[in-house]
Amino acid sequence: MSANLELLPGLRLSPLGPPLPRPARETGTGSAAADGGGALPDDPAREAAARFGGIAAAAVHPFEVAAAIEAEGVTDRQVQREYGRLDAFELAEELYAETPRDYPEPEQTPSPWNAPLSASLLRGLVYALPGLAFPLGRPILTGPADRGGLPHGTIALATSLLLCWAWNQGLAHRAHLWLGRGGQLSAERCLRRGAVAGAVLGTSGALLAGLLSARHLGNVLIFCAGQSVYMGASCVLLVLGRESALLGALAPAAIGGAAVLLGLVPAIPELSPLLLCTLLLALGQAARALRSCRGGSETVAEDPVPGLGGSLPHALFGLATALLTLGTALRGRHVEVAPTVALTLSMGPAEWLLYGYRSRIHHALRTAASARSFALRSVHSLLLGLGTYLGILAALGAVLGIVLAGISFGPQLAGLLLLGAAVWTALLLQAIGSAWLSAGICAPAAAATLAGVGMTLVGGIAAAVLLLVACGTLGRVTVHR
Amino acid sequence: MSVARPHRGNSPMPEGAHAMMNGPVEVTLLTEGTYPYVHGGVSVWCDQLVQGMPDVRFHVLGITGSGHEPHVWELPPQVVSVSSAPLWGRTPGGTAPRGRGLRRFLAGYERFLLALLDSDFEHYFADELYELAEFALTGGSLTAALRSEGALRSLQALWTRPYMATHAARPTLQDALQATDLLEHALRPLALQPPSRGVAHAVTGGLAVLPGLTARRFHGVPLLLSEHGIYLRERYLSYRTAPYRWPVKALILGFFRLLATEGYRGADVITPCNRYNRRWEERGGCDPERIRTIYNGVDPDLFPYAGPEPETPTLTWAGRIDPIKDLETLIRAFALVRVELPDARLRLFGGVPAGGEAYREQLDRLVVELGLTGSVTFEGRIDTVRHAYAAGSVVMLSSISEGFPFSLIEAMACGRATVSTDVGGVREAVGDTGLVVPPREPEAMARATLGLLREPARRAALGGAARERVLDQFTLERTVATFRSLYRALLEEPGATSASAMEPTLVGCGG
Repeated sequence: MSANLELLPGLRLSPLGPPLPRPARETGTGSAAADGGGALPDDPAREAAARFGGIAAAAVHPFEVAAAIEAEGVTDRQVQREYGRLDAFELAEELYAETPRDYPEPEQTPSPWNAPLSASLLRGLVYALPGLAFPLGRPILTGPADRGGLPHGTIALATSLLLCWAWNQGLAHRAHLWLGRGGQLSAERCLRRGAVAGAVLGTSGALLAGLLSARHLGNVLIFCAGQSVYMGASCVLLVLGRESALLGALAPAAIGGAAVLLGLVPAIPELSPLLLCTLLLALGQAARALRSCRGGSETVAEDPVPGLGGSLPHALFGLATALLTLGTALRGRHVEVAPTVALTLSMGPAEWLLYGYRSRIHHALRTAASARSFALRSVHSLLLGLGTYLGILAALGAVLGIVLAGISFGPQLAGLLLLGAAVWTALLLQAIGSAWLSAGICAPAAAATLAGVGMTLVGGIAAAVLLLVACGTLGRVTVHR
Repeated sequence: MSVARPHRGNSPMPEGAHAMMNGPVEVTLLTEGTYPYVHGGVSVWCDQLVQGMPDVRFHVLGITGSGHEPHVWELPPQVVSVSSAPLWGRTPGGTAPRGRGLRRFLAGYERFLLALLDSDFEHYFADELYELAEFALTGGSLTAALRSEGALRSLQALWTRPYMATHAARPTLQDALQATDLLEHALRPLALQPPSRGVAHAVTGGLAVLPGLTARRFHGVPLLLSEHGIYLRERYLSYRTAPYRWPVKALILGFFRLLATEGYRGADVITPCNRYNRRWEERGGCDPERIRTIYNGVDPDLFPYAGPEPETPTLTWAGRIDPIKDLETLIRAFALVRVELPDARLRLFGGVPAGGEAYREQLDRLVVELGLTGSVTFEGRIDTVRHAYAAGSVVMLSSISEGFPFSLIEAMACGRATVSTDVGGVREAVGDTGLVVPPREPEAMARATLGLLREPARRAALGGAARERVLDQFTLERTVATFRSLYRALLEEPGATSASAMEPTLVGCGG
């Protein structure tokens, strides 16, 4: 007997079905010689139906019934003796013709997108909390203003942040590719090397930007190096699902930063060891997570990991979103943090809403009758997700505007919402596998922001284009395979 | 006698096909998931064939899973090339046709789907299959075309039409995605460059036949199809528990059925390894004139008389620990034997294939449950399998499905009495030299076994007769010689090899 290949990797089918009801009467005879004779049962047709009716009802062809009859070990001899038919095929044809079709449903696969909200909120929190490092670090980052009038070190900090952000987006994508294929060891290697390279990249970027923009660097460079290392460690922890460990590591800096912000303690350089503390904790946790990943298994993937080019749009999209987000903060000669913090915090619910969209698509694929009705449901689902997200973002923006800036920033809210719409839609496209579309639309938008075009205009155009593209793309059934 | 060659069509016979006859015979073995990538079963048979014909130039075209499977057989020099065609692996690249090209492709694809789903249109299948092959072989990306939105919409629109059998099962878009995915993988072998000379020898039904069919269609290469199990029957059984809805099952099994039909119609000769399987081939539309049963054979020197039996009454079994071997029935039968003969032992020789661990554990639990710990032993994989037969007073076979099992004719060659289940070609192999019982009936198996264990003289007589039967009917030499003459005959005059006169005659296979 050959072991046939299944058509898809991971598909395991067993040639043995569930046992069928046994015939009531004793059948065994014993030896080759003692095989003849025997009277037909009272109603062979009914007995055959009782035994094979279930198979016949679900069958797609009489051959399937014949195969099942043979697999039960019923030989043609037995068919003749017990059911009064010539062979398994004749019996099968009769059963297939006389049994009404029944369509048993396979076990429902639960939607893989039912993530709990709490996990996403936690992620939003660990995205946003690192921002509290800045009030804590401000005393050691004082100095003459950068060229262009921004506060001292802003350009170096922003450059390092952007590079790390983009790099870690690409890195996370690659590590997820490995993890998705069961390659824990490869994922560990990828994360370890990638995080180190990212830290070096962020630091050198800061050095270069600092040399070009600031009159002297001082502590800025050290702060940037720490920030780059932290971002590498947090990328490792987020990919490996250790959000709570990361939250723990963030605690010292976050509590210190919050205390400074709320005016409970003065902003003094003596508090900066809290930053070091968070950095070391994050590093320790990341090392631990990598170690346990190293103890994992490595299955040989049937489906090879795509080349580095596949992660490029993710990095590019990361860079573009980072630029758009920071662009809202670096308005003119001052730093406006409320919209940035609102956007960052909203990333948690945003992820959850992406899951919600995918969950609704999972359902729609299994219920929509035609490609057209599916397209409509996809658009509806997209708008529902986007609307909810914008509601959350508006609330966050308003609250943070009052808390952080002490004013309601009504005029800025429109810009923030347009930008949020663009980012969420782009994230959705990226999640469905159209990373180049997201990157291709967000990158020019980011470039326009850099060139000084207003946030409302950039966000508005980007959001409109993305929404149109998303409605068209995501209405296609095949992008959801 | 000439044979209908329905799909030779008007493709001219290439000059090379005749020119080859003066040089060595060239044969391309088409395998799926077997030789030279796994041990046992069909691979053993392929190895025997290749080793037995050092004068033939063999190419092996193996359909594999990932394409990274290592060779586990040492290949002799007559195997001049091995190529692997992965079914899974990286999704083949390329872009789908657009505009008019796409519309033309989809029109053909819709006829193809119609053939799979509606028996009134089955006659479209072959032509559209070769259209798809031509598309793939002339630079089109079949994968990209099948994965296009247009192809999906075609399927969804087609199988929801009220007069289709699938309509009542309410096919969903998810079903369409899954069915397309399965079909796309199944059709990947169409993109392989088919052999252009010599003989194409598919050693199994199913996907391995695809390159054989295209070789025959486009290069006039004669096709020989050897079936050990019945691929189609096994697919029907496997898909009973598949995680798919009815329409998906209907479509993919429709494909396997029509592929089997086209293989039976297109192959010049079909060689099942037992007569039992002929029933499927004839039902599948195969002209009985072109079917020729060729039994598996063993080398009697490698399986000599096993010598004296063990002191304690022992049952042995050799094979893969696999659900299809129904070891549960064997263990239950042994429990009944042991009630009568408390000394009796059951020794099971064979490895657990990857993924089969759960079945092995299930058997372990059964052994404990029946209080057989110590008297039933799992001996693991054994290099010299004849020792497994020698270790038994009686050799057992409890499978619920078999072709023409090697373990049975090997045990017979060793002169052991056997008790086996009445499946596939078992009755033809054993004849009256062993006991055959209905499958899945531990009581019947136990009764037959006890009878043998209690009568040493009968055991010896059956064992002697079994060896004689093998020497007479099932030698490797005979199998190899038959295939060698088939290869030559196919090359000399394709289509003139049908020979019901050549059908082996068997005595004593119980009618």
